[in-house]
This record gives sequence, C-alpha cells and structure tokens, in this order.
Amino acid sequence: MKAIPALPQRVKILVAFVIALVILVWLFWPETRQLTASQQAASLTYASSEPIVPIPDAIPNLDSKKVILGNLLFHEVNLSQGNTVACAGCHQLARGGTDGLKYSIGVNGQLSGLNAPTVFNSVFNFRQFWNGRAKTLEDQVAGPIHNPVEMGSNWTEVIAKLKRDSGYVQAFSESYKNGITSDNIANAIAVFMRSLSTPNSRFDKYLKGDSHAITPYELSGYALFTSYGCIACHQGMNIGGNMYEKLGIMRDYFEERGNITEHDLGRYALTKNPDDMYVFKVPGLRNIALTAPYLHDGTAKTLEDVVLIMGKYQLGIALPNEDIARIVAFLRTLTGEYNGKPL
Amino acid sequence: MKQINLRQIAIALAMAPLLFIIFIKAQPPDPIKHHHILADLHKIERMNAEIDILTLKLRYRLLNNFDDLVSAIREISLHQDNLRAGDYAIYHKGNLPIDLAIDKLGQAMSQKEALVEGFKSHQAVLNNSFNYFPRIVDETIQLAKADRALQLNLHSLLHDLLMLHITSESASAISRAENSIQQIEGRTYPLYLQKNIARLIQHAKYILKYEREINLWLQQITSVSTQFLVRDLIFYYEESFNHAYKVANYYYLFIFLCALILFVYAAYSFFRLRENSSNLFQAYAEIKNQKFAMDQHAIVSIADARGNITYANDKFCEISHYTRDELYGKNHRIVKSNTHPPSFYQEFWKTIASGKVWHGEICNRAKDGSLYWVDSTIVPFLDEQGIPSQYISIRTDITERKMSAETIMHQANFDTLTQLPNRRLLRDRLEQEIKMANRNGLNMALLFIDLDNFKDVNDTLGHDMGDILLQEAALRLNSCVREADTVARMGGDEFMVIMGELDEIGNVERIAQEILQKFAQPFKMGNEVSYISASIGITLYPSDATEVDALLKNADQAMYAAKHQGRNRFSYFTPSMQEAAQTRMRLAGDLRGALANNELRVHYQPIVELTTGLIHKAEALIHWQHPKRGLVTPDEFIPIAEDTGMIIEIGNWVFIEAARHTLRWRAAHNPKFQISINMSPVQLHSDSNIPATWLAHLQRLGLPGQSIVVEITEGLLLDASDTVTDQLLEFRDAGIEVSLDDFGTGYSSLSYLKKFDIDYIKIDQSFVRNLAPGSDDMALCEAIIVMAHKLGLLVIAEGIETAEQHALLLAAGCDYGQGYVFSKPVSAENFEAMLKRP
Repeated sequence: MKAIPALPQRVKILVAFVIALVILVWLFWPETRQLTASQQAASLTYASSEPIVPIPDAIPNLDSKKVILGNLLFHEVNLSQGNTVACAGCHQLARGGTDGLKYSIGVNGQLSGLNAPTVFNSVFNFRQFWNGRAKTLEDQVAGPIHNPVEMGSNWTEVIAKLKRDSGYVQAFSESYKNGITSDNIANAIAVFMRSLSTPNSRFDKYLKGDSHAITPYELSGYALFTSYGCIACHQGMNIGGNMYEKLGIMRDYFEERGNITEHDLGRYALTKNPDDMYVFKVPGLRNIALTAPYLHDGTAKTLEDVVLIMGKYQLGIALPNEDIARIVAFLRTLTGEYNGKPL
Repeated sequence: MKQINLRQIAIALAMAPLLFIIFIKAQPPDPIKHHHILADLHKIERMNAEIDILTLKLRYRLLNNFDDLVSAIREISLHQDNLRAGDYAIYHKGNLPIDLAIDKLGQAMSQKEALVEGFKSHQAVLNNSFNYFPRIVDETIQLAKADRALQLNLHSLLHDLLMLHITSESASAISRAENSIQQIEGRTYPLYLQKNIARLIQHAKYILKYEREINLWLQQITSVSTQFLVRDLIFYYEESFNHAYKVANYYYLFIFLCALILFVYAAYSFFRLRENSSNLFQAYAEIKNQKFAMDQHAIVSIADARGNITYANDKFCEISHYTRDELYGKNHRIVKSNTHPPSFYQEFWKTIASGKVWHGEICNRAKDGSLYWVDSTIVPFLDEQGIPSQYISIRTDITERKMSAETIMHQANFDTLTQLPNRRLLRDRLEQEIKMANRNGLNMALLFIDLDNFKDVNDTLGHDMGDILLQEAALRLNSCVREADTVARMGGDEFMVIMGELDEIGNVERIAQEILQKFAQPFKMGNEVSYISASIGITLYPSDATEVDALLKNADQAMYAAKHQGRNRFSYFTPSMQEAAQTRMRLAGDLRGALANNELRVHYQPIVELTTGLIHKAEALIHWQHPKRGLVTPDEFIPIAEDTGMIIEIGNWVFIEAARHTLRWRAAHNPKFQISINMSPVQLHSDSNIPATWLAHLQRLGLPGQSIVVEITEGLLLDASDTVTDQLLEFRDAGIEVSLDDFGTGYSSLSYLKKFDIDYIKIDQSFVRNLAPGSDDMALCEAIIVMAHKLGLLVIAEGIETAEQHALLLAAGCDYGQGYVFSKPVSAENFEAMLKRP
C-alpha cells in the first residue's frame, strides 16, 4: 500500500473523475448504435398512420331504388346475346364476386382469357379492368356487355329487350327522367356495384383499434407483409387497386411463364407505350381468400402460390414457407362483410 | 291613314323580337354558375397542388398509400368533366381562349396523370426495396457476424442509401453508395452468404437507380404547367364573365334607358292627355251647353248622305209632330210639303251635295198635315273623299212670321172680302204691266167696272147680302178674264181689270161684253135674287195715257161716261173726257179761291103759287162769276165742290145768304116767305152736323124753321144712312121743310116720301118740258100730283117755260111752279125788286 501513497491528492481526484466519466459514458452510451437496419430504416419513415385504411361501414348517398334496379340488371341475362349470361354469372356475389374459374366463360361457352376480378369493393379501385381501361364503374359496365366473348351484346339490343319488360320500364321511369337508356343502365349497375363494399373485416377492426381482432400470428404476417415490401403496392383502402405496376419487377414473369397472349400485355395494349408493357392495375387484396385462382391469368391456384409468385417476381425473393403461411394468415383476415354478413 | 297603321303594326311586330333579344342579352351571366366554375377551377388548382405535395410526401415516405393521390386525380378529372359539361359552358360558349385553355389543361392533366402513374409504379418499387433492404441487411449481418468488414460495408451502404433518400440527389451519397456496392461486390463470400448478398446488391442497385429516377419523375410532374394553365383558365373565365356581365349591363342600361324614355313619354302623354281631357271636357261642356241652348232655340236634325234622319231634337219632334222613333231611319222627305216647286228641291240638293252650306226658308209638312215654315241652314259634313257623309240642319220656326207676313202682305194687297188684289196691288200690277207692255210693244187695257144700283141691294137686302153679291161679282169677273189678267177690287162696288199683252184691241170689247152678259145673270144670294148691271170704263195703254194715275183716271172717267150714257154698258175713254176732267180740275183749283174772292153769287128763282100767281117762295141757286170764264153753272162746279169737300163750306155760305134774304124778305114782303136750298148728299153724309149749325144760325136771326126748305135728291134717300135720316129728321123737327128734287127721274120710290116725311115734290123739268095735253108726261105729272096730294104733299113743277105748261099744270092741280115763264134766277137785288112789283 506504501508504494501508492506517492501519488498526490490532485492526481487522485483527476483519476477518479476520469473513471467516473468513463463509467457514465459507458452507462449512457446511446443504444442507437446498436439499432438494426430495419429500425434505422423505420426511423426514416415519417408516416404516422397505417398504410392500409379500413373500409367505411356504408357507402353514403346511394339511391336505394337504383341499387335495387342495378341488382336486377346485374342478374339480368337479357343483357347478353342469347340471354344466357348475366353479370352475376362471372361475378357471383356468393363466391367473393368472382366465379372461381381460371378464365371466365362467356356467351356460347367462350373463354374470356382473363381471370374475373371481384366486383366487391371495385368502387375503391382507381380504375376498372386489369389494364385499368375504365375510369369509372359506369364506363366499365359497357365493356363486358359488348365483349363478344363475354356477353356479346350491344346497347340497342339490350335496351330493346329491357323495354319489353314493363317492370324495367317502370323501374327506370321511377329513377330516371329519360327511362331506359344505355347511360341509365350503366348507371344503375354502377350504383349497385358501389353498394358492393365489404366493411368490418377482422383486420379493419384491428385497424380501428380492436387489438384482439386478429391473432399475433396473423399480425406477424402483416409485419412480414410490410417488411417484405408487399405493402408498397398493396396499400390504401382497397389494399391495392390504386396504382399500376409491372408484373415482374425483379424477374421476368412472362418469359418464365411463357405463352404470352394479348391479355398479358397489360396497359401496353392501350397506350402502346413500351414502358407500359406488362403493367397492370395492382389488384386489391380484400376478400382475397375467396377469389382464387389468382393473377390476371389465373395461374396461382392458392394464396400460398400467389404470395410465392409475388415474392419471386416482384420482390426478387424466395419467401420461406413459414413466412408465406404467416402472410396468408394475414391475408385471410381481410375478408369482410356484405350486407352485415361475412362473405 | 290605313297605310300608317300597317306600318305601325309592322314596326311593333319587328320591335317585339328585338326587345325580346335585348331582354335576353340583358340577362347577366349567372353568378352562381360562375362561382361553381370558379370553385371547380380552384379545386383543380388546389388538387393540382395537392398532387405535387402528395407526390413529394410519397417520395419522402411521409405517406404510405396512394389513396389520397388517386382521389386528388379523380377530383381533378371530375371537375374537368364539369368544365367540359355544357351546363357550365353556357356563358362561355364559343369563347375560343377558354375552350383552348380547357383542352390544354385537359391534355396537361392527362400528361400529369400519366406521369403520376409512372411515379407511383416507381415509387412502389422504391418503397418495396426500401422496405425490404433493411431487412436483408439485418439478415446478412446476422449471418455474417464474423465478417466485420462486410458489416461495416453494409452499414455504410445502408447509411448512404438512407442519406441518399433524405438528401435526394446528393452526388457524394451516390458515389459513396456506388463505392460501397462495388466493395461488397468486389469480395467473395461463403456460399451461405452469396444468395443474400446477391439480393442485397440487387435491391441496393434498384434503390440507387429508382432514387435517381423518382426524382426525375417528380421533376417532370411538377414541371407540367397545369398550375399556369389553371390560372389562365381562371383568368379567362373571370375575364369572360366580367365581359359578359359588362355586355349584359350595357343591355340592361339600354333597357333602363328605354324604360326611362318610355316613362318620360308616358308621363308626358299622361299630362298631355289630362290637359287634353280637361280641355276636351270643357269643350264638351261648352258644346253640351251650346247644344242645349241650340236645342232650346233651334230645330236640329242630322241626316246621312242619303238624307235618312239619324238625329232629331225635341224641337224637331215638336214641330213635325213625329216621335223620334218615327223619324229615325226615315228619309227627310217625310216632312216635305211639296209647296215648293221641284226646281227648288233640285237646287237645294245640288247645293248641299256639292258640299256647300244651304240657307233658305222651307215650308215643311208636319205629321198632321199642317204646314210650317222653317228658316234652314243645312251644313254638309264631308268625308275624306270630299263627299258629304252627313248633313246637319239647323232650323228656326218662322211659321208665325211667315204667316203674319203673308197675312199682312195679303191684307195690304188683297181685298179681304173677295180675295181680289186691292187698289194698292192693282197699282203695282199696273206698273208691272206697263213695263211689260213697254218691253213687248203690246197694248194693255184697263177696265173700270162699277156695279149699277148696288146701293139698292145693300139697302134692301142688307150689307151681308151685298157682300155676298160682291163676292159673286168677283167670281164672275175672274171667269171672264184670262189667267194672266188681274181683277182687282177698288173698294165699294168698284172693280178693275188689267188686260195685258193685247195684240188686238177688239178682245177688250169682247171681254167687256162678256162681263156685261155675266152680270146680266141674276145674282142668287140664299133665297134672294137680285138683278144688277155693270158700267165699264175702258182705257188703253199707251194710246190713252202712259202714267198709272192717268190711266186710272181715264178708266174712271170712261166708267162715268158709261154711267151717264145709261149704265149697263161700256165706254171707251175719249180725249174729250180728258179735257173735261182737266177743266174740272182747274175749276176745282179756282173754286178754292172763289168764296174768298167773292166770286160766288146766290141767285134766286121765284116759286109761284099757280093758283094766285104770287111769289111765295124762292129757290137759292148758286152762280160762280169766274173772273176768266165768266159765269160757271152749278152743274159744272157743284160736283167739283162735292168731290173736293168744299160743298160744305159753299153750302153753309149759301144757307147764310139765303137766311139773310129770307129774314129781309119775310119782314118786307111776305112773312111766310120761304127759300129752298139745294142740299148735296155729300153735305148730309159729312160729319159736320149741318142741321145743328143751320138751326143755331136761324135761331140767332130769329127765323123759324119754316123759313127754309131743304131740297134733296132721290139718290140721297136711296143710300140714306142713319146720319142722313137723323139729320133730315132734325130739320123736320126744327120745322124746316124738305123738298124732293128731280122727282120721277130716279127710283121715285113712294115709300121714301112717307119714310122721310117729305113736304114737297118737285116734278123734274124733263117732264114739264114736254107737257102737252094727253101726253105721257102729262099723265105722269097728273099722277104724281094726285098721288102727292093723296099723301099730303105739295107739288112744285120745275122748268115751266110756257104759259101752256103753266096752264096744264094748273089744271092738273099742281101747287107751285117755277121756271122762265115766271123768271129766271136773278140776283137778290133784282128779286127784291121783283117782289116789290105787284
């Protein structure tokens, strides 16, 4: 001990101060330094809200008479050539608004060459059809009616047929000044389609504050959905449906799939812009569990398949099965209610 | 007038759509619509800015979904559709800058939208990598815990990429990131790391690439000039709205000015109308008063162009005795009287039909047939063509005036009894006939007709019968003469006939004969029948005289001549008649000075008692010792004195002379001496009351009435009036005896002798002159004497010139005699001498 006493008192205090300082710095060294990349990246995301928005409980300002009329027309085979196909033929409300087929079957058993998108929540889409060629639901109505492989009819024919039905004549005259016209038929069907929203999915309940609406497992699926980047396109109220995106960002989907048809060209068919090649409207994911098969070509038979494909071509990753299962579990929470009843 | 109306209607019709157009033009642009448009534009502007903000937010990850961006774009396209909708374009239709700006904005917006879509796709990929990159970094770090260098490199890369994201295009960050990527790639990794590293590098490269690209997208989005285009559009809209508003204001102002002018005009019209109406009212009141006044005074009627009555006032109804209902619609002829010749009506219609005012006197016929005279003024009112459309007649009733004038005229010119022209009218006619005769060089005759013995009819049958006879005489005269001749009554029983245009004098005589024949017919007056004749005097123009008075006188003289010739005849006027007349006239003038000049003398002719031969009486006879003519007999000047009225004075003078001599001779010779004085009928007819004067004179002289005898003629007694009778009775009462002169020449009515209490009858010398024994005259004289004596009268025979006559009369029992056989009339001195002689 006698060796040490040589140190002067001033030095002792200095040493003690340094030691204390080191201890304090050690103790209070900011933890950020140990943040993961994800945490660092998240810190740069300033958006305060969730990227997915719940569907409102009801669509306001819908004329109930027109909704009923639109419902009738939606189920009216007279809109088609030969009176065989109604809208509801391919867009079966009981089957999530689609037909469960790879390609829909039109008049005379013709195949449409495209997977039928759901009519549910189509009101929230920024464009209609896979290639987004219709700006509004009204614009969209005329499409299938005139499509030779779908309903194969035309307005003149349709109007003539409807005018023979006094029920329609009266219903139209009650809702429209000028009775049965193409615009009014389209409007009535569009109004009906606007009513086809599916609020109160379990995930919407969660978003609205019910933390028990989904299981932690499903929630972990949502986290994966976000962190893998799916959320980049599938966001908003319809979890998609509000933008165009190229199918095959990271890998060439169509080359690998082969057998490219005109339906695969996407927006290019409309714009002839090379940049629009294979660009489609990003479909909304609501009620996705009910609308198999998936993708415009109906190639993905299950949710797992489609999540895998999306991961592969859009994210450039091979999603682990565990993660796919979680994501699929999350996707299943997106099934909502129609007319107060679960789909 | 009608053309102007058509033009006015055309102008009004043209003005109506013009006004309507102006009214439409004056509609200001709807500010609400304008505000809607502006609201749309501002919304577009805001949403446009919103897009810029949202893209920036998304780019910097302040937002995690595209919903807001989508709805912003949708809003814009919605409002753009609104702009394109016709409803909003209504006030800007055809406004090229606006249409162009809308189109340009639409194009720019489409461009922007496309850019936004591209941005979204890229941003999504970037987001995707950004989401996934930290996760793969973490995973890799965990896997490669031993590899410190890799860890550092990864951290550095992460840091650089994050910094790049924050700082955008920081050249240093990019180069550092690229550097890090190269370092990571430049190394070899164990197999379990290779897959991770590859993905990591891929995503890092994507981030690097997209970070740069996204900025380009952003630049492009913001560089689309939508902002300016919207501002331009707002400006154009404002401008066009203001312009439209201004134009509308001008039209509005124009309408306001029109309204103002109209108001001023209306006010002016109103005041003028009021003024006019008050003037009109005044004028109406005046006219009403005047009409009332006129209706009070005048007979007013209005007739249309054809003369049909459309208005008649009360006076018209009153005078015409028609009611209004009977008059209205009837032709004015209803009151036509036909008293005017057709030429009168023709002239009348010619005047008023030519638009001239007619004035004159018309005789109309009332409903009851009575005639009435109106002083008429007929005023034609002309239509546009100058043709009378109606006539207003204003009349005054002049019936009374007319009638009285006629009556007066008639009375003045016509004899009331016979309705023949009177003396006055005769003169006029005569003057006219003279003028006419002068003109045509023909002769003219004037006939003076006097009825013979008319006095007898009056006396015997009364004046009424006399009047009837005169009327009958007038009718007979009228029946004899030609239509154009004039028959006039001069008074009493005197008539005149003017016969003009005589080409043959003989005609006059024929007519005179006819008149005499007609008058020879008995006159029947009721039960009475009378016989009467006429004496006609004829004078001719121009042979006898040329003056009216001269002609009248000539006719008169000729008539007297006819009378003297024995009546019931006609006599032509002769120059000797004229001479005599002239003489008479001169004598008349001289006679006036005769009394004063003492030229008159009273001579006495003795009346002898035949039985004794003694002068018992004397007849006073007047003589005129004319200074130039010598002695003028009473026969010559007494008629003149009678005509001139001097007979009264002369008669009185004779009486006074006679009375003086009677007094003298009664005293000196015979106390019963009588002087008889001739009494003219004129004296007794006059009002001078001779008996009273004479009796008073006799009284003064102290002479009894018996000293004077009044000699009267039968003619006096024939038409003796009450005055004559009264005076004769007065003489008798006073004792003055009356002697009837010239008995036997006239009517010799015996009844008079008793009636007038005659004392003496004087047998006319015409009987005495031719007395011879056994002659008619002798018998007459004897009869007269006997009769007179039977009646208690004494008889005096006149004009006894021979002793034989004297003897015969004496034998016949005549009481007194007078004549040259005894003595011619002598002066008072000589008579006195004669009395003195035994």
